Amino acid sequence: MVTMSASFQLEKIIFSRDGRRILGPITHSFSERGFTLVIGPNGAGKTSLLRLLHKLQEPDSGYISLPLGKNGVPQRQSFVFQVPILLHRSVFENAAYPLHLSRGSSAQVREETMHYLEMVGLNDNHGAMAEDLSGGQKQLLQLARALITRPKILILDEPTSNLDGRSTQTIEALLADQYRIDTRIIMTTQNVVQARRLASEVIFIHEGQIVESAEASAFFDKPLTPQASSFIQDGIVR
Amino acid sequence: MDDLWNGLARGTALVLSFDAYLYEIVLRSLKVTLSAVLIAALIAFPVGAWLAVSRFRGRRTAIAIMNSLMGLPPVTVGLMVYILFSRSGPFGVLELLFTPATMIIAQVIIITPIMASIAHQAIGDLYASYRDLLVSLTATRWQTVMVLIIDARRALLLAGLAGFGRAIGEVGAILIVGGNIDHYTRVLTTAIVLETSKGDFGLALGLGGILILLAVILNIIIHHITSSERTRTWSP
Amino acid sequence: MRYLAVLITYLATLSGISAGATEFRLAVTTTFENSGLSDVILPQMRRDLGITIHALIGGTGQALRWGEAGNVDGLLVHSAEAEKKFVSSGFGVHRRKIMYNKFVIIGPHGDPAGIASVDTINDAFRKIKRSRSLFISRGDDSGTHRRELKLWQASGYDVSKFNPSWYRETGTSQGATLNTASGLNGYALTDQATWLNFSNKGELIELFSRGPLLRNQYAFVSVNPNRHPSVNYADAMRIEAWLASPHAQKLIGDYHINGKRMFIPNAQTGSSKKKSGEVK
Repeated sequence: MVTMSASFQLEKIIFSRDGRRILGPITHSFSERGFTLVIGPNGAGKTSLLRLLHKLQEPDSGYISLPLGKNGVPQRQSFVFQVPILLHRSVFENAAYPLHLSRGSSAQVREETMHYLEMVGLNDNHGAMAEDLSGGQKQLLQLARALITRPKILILDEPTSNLDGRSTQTIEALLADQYRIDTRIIMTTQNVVQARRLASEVIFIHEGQIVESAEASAFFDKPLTPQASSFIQDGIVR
Repeated sequence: MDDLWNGLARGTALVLSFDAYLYEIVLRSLKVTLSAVLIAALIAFPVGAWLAVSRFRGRRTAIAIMNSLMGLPPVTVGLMVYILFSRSGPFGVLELLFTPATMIIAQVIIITPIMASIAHQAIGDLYASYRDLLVSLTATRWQTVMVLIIDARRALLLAGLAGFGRAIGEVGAILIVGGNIDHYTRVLTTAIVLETSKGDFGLALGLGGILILLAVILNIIIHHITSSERTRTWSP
Repeated sequence: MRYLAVLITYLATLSGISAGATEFRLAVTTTFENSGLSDVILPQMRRDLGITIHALIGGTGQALRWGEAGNVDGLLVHSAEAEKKFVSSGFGVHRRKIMYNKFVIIGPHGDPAGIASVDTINDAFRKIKRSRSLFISRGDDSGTHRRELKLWQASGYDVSKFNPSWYRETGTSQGATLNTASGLNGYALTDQATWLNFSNKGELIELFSRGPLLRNQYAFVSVNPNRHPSVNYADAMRIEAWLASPHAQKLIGDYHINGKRMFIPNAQTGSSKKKSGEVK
């Protein structure tokens, strides 16, 4: 069910898998702008939440409404997977794929693709097979592919958890750039320090529930719940 | 043992001397079987892909049927095609019996199930890894099938080779529907039957040797493709 | 649907269906092919008549069934009774005698049944049966097979009661049956031409070939176009005339294997003019 709204609205969402309840019931209204970090311990349901927002999964019950643009049509969203999903093709073809789907191939598409590859530093090996890239490079490729459609909303599932410091830095810088041009970013992480660096807003999830959600500085300086406190301090919930 | 050596000697001599009869038969075998593989691929690959990406009631039954059709005895297929294309049969007006056309049709029926099955398996595996991405990019059903077929082309090539192997060595069906007519529907396998029945083991062995050679070349190609596949996955 | 039409057209062109010469499907018996005569006759026939002749090789029984279904346009077979029935049942138009040779009994050179010295073929068959010597039968409803059955019957036996320990039915062509006889060192009935042209004799030799009961008459039968309109009757008449012509008859008569004449041409001219016009 799609209603008029400027951002994601979750209404009594319940999501289970294999008979086990993963999320919910959750009712939450996302803000229209911001760089939201969804944090919480392992298995809390962070990934599932993101997948629901991107319609990779349907909730068992409840409603999710997607953000609409000025023309009443859902806004463009891109998703970056924790483990990169790449086609058995070259770097270039992977990055160009979303454009290829909507516009075919053309000089224009080629130009745009190279632009985004340049942005992530992969233009030199654009002809290499994607599977031959390093972990960090693969994630950068995913990011280039996600950005190439100029999304209004960018959803990332733990994009840097398997990467080295250098790649993490590069990606965080790119995300900061996106935030600056008003892209709505929703991202998960296990890393509290990273959350501090990036977030404008934090959603803390524990055992399938949104336990706390607040503006970033408010959350980190004065967490309202003991679970949040514990997590901020030690990275686990006692 | 004498027969074997004499036969091999005679066979080798024929091959090396570019014996016209021999080469005509080999060429026709390749023409018929390659046509069959091509046509079968045009049917089997979309069907296999579609079954891999669609969800509909009865899908499991469809897959089970496709797999069990692999067990169709080739000679029975030949008999059924003969009856259908006989002048007394429903498709007799097409005048295709005892021509290479019905041989191709029979071979297509025989090899499509195995090619569809292999395609379905390979494409299904690839679909499992691509699915989230394709959903995320809102790819259409058609776009999904295309990207899967293109990216799974190695496996599909192997499916084609499997079909080729099965067709090139088949003899019962094409003997019935083709009639083993000299200079027209005689191919490697049916020629072997004829020459053997004349007691002329030399030529029969020569032809048999070529059949074996084709199978060996096939296997080398398969080995080459699959091993180069393996080296890929080792990159860090 | 258009996809299907394109496919059929492609297959048709692959079949090399040409607009030029007409096509004729001639069923010939395996004995005709195995004797080697077909390699002499058919190319000449094609050249002289300008017809594309597709020769399908099978036993007489199979040839007759092809004819009944209208899948061949003419038959060159050797089973008089069956041919006459074919014509009288309306499947065939006309039967024309072309040539004959003879059947022979081949067997192990030690001749365990002792048939080499008997007087008649019936005596030979009796000796084989009584000694229960290994006998390999065509078993495929071919002209040779039918003759073999008639000979057993004439010798006073019912083949269905024979024990497979000594009487083996292969269900295969003449050459394939001879392969089996050679491999098992047994007796068999075969036409002489196939035998002389056969390359895998092993320890077998020709043992008995005398008497009228072993005469092997070949005839050409045209298939009735009234049953199946697409049957090529026009060329059937031309082929029949050609086979009976002095030119072809001489070719047939001149055919030798190792200096031995294989077939005796016996087509009758003149009488054909009356009959070939009748199509029932």
